[in-house]
Amino acid sequence: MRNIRIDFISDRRWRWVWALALLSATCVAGMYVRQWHTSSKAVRDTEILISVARERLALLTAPKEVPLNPKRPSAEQAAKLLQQDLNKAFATIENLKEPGARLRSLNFDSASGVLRLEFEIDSVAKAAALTAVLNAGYDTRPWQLETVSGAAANNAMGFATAQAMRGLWFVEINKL
Amino acid sequence: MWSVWSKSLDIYLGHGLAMLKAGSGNAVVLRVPAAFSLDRALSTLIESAAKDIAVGRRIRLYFSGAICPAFSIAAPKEVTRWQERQQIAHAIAAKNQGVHASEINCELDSVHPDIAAAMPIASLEELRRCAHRQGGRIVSMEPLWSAATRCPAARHSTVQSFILLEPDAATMLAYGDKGVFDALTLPGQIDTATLTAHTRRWLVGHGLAEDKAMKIGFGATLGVAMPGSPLPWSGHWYQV
Repeated sequence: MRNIRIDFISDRRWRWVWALALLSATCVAGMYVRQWHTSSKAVRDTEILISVARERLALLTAPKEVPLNPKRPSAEQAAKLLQQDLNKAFATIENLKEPGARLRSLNFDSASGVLRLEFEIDSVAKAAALTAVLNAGYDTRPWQLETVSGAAANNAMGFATAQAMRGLWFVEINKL
Repeated sequence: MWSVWSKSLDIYLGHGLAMLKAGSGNAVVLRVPAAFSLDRALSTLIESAAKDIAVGRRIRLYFSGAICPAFSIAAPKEVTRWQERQQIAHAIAAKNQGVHASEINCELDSVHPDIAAAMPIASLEELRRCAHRQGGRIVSMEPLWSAATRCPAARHSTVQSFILLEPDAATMLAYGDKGVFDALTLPGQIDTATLTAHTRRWLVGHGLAEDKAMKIGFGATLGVAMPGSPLPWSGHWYQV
């Protein structure tokens, strides 16, 4: 025979069981949350330590800034000068055989790499000829006439003998 | 006294008979007029018992078969939902007692919803209030036949029908071959010969042999404790 249980009052003991189960579940959830909170805090602390350590490591491994040598600009300038090839310009000057034209001065601006030649010439037409001679062998015509100025030349007696003229040519070394 | 306070009280309420038992002590038996309402019978019983014993706080109430008869629910097999079955049981109980369905409390067995019992809600509330007035709290209200089915002797697999004879009714339960419970309560004082005839008819109707039935009686007279009898009201059970 199977048991029969008919009661007009619901068994309240189950309420205690449910309450106990609920309390246990709440406790477990609370412990879990507390554990999670603790572990997450530990993780955060560890991450902070790692980031600090990384920063320190980055500082230690970063290349040290070498103090600027005061001689460096002049050294760089010297190196730049040494790298510039003045041979072609000097070869042009040495090989220049133009009667009526005399080299008066040579000026080289190392900063801009421009070489200026001042010739004394006896006529304006000489200036054009001299320009052609300087540019001989170059298609790009790197030598350019900058100015031509004229001045009276006196002899020892104080008489004007001829009109001396001066022409200024310049060239950019790196275009030679 | 304090040891008695910690124990629960067993109270049996029947037509013309009320019994109270505290722990393993002897039961207080009170013959009450049949016209007494349940709460009045309970109040009178507790008051008379209070002269001899301290009234405990936890009260277990057992109703006789005449007060809380068993009935079966022949619901169509399509009805499988608990709520629908309970509504059908409610309607059957209201029809049996001739009251509106809202006035009764009908309870089904949770495992075998073919068996049900019903009590007027007003009576249950009156009993609760009465117990409260007497300083107690009712923790259980069930028909005695429901408690009796849980006795060790009834648990045997060969027992397929359980018959309980009380001073005011006889309740018959059968577990048929189709796996359906059937229940019937015959109200009134039934003698042994009449019970035998009813039992035979009951068993034949369910296709059961007589050795498949367990018959047990409950009375006010205290006797020797029957082995395998229900645990509450020990000594008040007898073989029929």
